[in-house]
Amino acid sequence: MKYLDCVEVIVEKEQYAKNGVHKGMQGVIWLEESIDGTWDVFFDLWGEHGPIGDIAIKKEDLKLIPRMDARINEKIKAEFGD
Amino acid sequence: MSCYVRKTYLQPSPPKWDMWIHRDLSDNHCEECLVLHECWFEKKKTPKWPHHPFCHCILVDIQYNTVLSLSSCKCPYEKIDPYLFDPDNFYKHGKSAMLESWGYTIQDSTYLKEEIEKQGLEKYRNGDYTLGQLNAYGQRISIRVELPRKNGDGMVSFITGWMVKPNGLIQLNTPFGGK
Repeated sequence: MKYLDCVEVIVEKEQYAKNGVHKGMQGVIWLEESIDGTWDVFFDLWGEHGPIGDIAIKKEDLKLIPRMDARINEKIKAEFGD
Repeated sequence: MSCYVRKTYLQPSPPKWDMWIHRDLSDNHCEECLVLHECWFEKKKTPKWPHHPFCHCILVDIQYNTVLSLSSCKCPYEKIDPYLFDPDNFYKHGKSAMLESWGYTIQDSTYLKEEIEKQGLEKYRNGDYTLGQLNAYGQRISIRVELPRKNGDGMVSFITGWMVKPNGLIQLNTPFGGK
C-alpha cells in the first residue's frame, strides 16, 4: 500500500465507527507516511457532500482495491444512519 | 486661556500567536504532543493546553512579524490532479463534475493549487481557521476558500483541510471538504 492507493475497510470497529467509518467503506491513503502500523485514510462522499474525513486505520484492517467509489460510502453511511 | 489637547493615536495591537513546545521531561511521550512540537497557532485557536494530565508541553509567545515573514504553505499537486479531477475515473467521487459546473477543468489545476495556497496562507496568518482533528499524524485545521465562477458571475466557496506542521508551515490535506 502507498500514498493515494485506494483501500477498503475490512472490519467493523468502534474506534472507526465513532468517526463515521464502517466496514466496506472505501478510501484513499492520504498521507505519504505510515505511523505505528496505520495509514491515514480519507473517506470521501459523492459530489458536493463534505467528506467523512481522514482517520488512522491499522494496515491489517485494510485491503487494497483497484479503484474506489464514494457512492458505496454514501450507501453504508445511510445504512448506519450516520 | 488656551487648552492643550493631547492627542493619543491608537494603533491596533498585532495578533498574538503561540508556538507549542514539547519538552522531553519523561520517558513516555504523547504522540499528539510530539506532533505539535514547534507548530504555530493563533492564541485563541491553539489546541487544548495542557493536552492531558501531566503534560509537560509549554506555549511560547511568537512574534506576529515572525508568523508573517516565515509562515509558508504547501499544496501537493496530486491532491488536485489526479485526486480532485480524477481523469482516469480511479477515485469516483463526483467532484470533477462539480468543478466543471463552476467552469473549471483539469487544465486549471495549477491555478487552483496556487489560489488555494494563497488564500490558505493568508487566512492562516489572519487566524481565520477552525481547529479540527488532532491525532498522531497532526493537527488539522479548516480554511474556507473562495473562487470566482469561471463560467458566470459570482463566487463559490468551500472548505479546505490543512495539516499544521512545525515552524509555520501548513500543508493542504483535503482540497474539497464540503461547502
